[in-house]
Amino acid sequence: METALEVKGITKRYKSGRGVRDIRFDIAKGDIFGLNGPNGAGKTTLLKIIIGLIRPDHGSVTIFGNNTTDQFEQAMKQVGCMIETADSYDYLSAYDNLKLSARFYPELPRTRIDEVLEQVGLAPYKKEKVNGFSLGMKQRLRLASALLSKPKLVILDEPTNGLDIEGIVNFRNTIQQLACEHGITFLISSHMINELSLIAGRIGIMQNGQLIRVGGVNELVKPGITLEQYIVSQLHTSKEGDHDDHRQYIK
Amino acid sequence: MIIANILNETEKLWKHNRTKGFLLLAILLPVISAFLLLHNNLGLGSNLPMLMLRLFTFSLLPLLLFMSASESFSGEVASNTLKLGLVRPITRAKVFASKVAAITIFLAILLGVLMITTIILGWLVPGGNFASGLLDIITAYVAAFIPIMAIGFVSVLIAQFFNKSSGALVTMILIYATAKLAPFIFPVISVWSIFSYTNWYVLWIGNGASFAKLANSFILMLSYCIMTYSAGVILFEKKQL
Repeated sequence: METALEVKGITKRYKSGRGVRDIRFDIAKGDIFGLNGPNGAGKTTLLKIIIGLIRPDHGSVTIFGNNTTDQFEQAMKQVGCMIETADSYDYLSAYDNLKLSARFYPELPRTRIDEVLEQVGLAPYKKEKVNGFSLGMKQRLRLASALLSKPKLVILDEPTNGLDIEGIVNFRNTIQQLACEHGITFLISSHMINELSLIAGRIGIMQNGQLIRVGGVNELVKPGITLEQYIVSQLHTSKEGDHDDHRQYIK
Repeated sequence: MIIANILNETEKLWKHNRTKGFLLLAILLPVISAFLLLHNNLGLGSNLPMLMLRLFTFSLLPLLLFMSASESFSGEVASNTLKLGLVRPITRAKVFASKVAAITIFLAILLGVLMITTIILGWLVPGGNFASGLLDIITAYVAAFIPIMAIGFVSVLIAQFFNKSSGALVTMILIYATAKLAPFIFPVISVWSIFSYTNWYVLWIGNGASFAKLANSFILMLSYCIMTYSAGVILFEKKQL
């Protein structure tokens, strides 16, 4: 099976002592990989390193065989991403926001912007300026921007934040449909494990900047306990065992 | 990809009311000035294009550059929109280049609009025949572009140190004001300060200055451009978002 994303020994340490360390995992083409962990575990930092917003101290990221350090343009041609802290231009309309992104993909047909706006349910509002959008509408626009280029790998950071129930269900259906019908690979970071467990094939659990466990949803769940309970137990175990190690890392 | 991003950056600048406002000023100020000069029976002579160029190169063009640079870099960091361009298939060096290119394009457009407006006024308004000095006017406007562009490059470098456009803008204005006042106390500064060359175009008109002097000052401006651009792109590459 072709590897869509390969993360090798990624380490990034901030002055505060926080960051991520020695993260290793890979995602096969067509998989939906969920990244879970408590707030501040390092999920967003890891995603930002993968898409080149932050430079790691060590390690490498390879996307469909292209290393992001020296083949960044080639690597990012295959990627669509939605980062929690990235906003749209609020003085532009939804359509114009996507038009800016579409210029990077000259092979896209002109109808693609309308198509993707339809897909996320923003077609009726395409000419409205983003500054009048609700949080959920802005989130849908970010998703549209991530899917616009028909990427082979989609990276989503807390994608359901701000979405209502209908939006969450639509989002889930869209992801599953794209993965099944088009073989698109997804890396989805979320602190909502129940949400992740409904769509992800494999889940990685992060804590204190480390990837403490990676496995299939069915592997992680043991008889008699829910995935939620399992993860909480893993976090507690890791916290105790890792405390001294983490202190060492900060030093 | 760089062309795509130059188009994006140009479109973003154009959508700001500020940019349209400056363009409007480049048309309205000469018209109002012409009206006032005629109303007071002063006549336009061949002064209007140079008068406007002096006003714009001294204050309005640097201000436009400061605002554009601070908004395009620091402002986009603050509004979390800079990341949108950086996660596309384009290197940071190209993103930087296209932002600088868009600012430079607007500077050229603004100077062009100002020049055309003042020349047209010369044809339309009685007593404002600039035909004899047309070459001087065009030379002056082209020459004025170079030092102002160099100031733009300096402002782009300053913008790299700030994560909010307001901080960057205030710092740029303070540096500019200090650089303009400093030569009154230390005259030697004016030789080396890029901010002292806003009226460089004067050397190009009439009998002007010697070729050696023009070449010397041109090389100084070019050096400013190269140094500030290189420093700016290095800082931009290192930005952690």
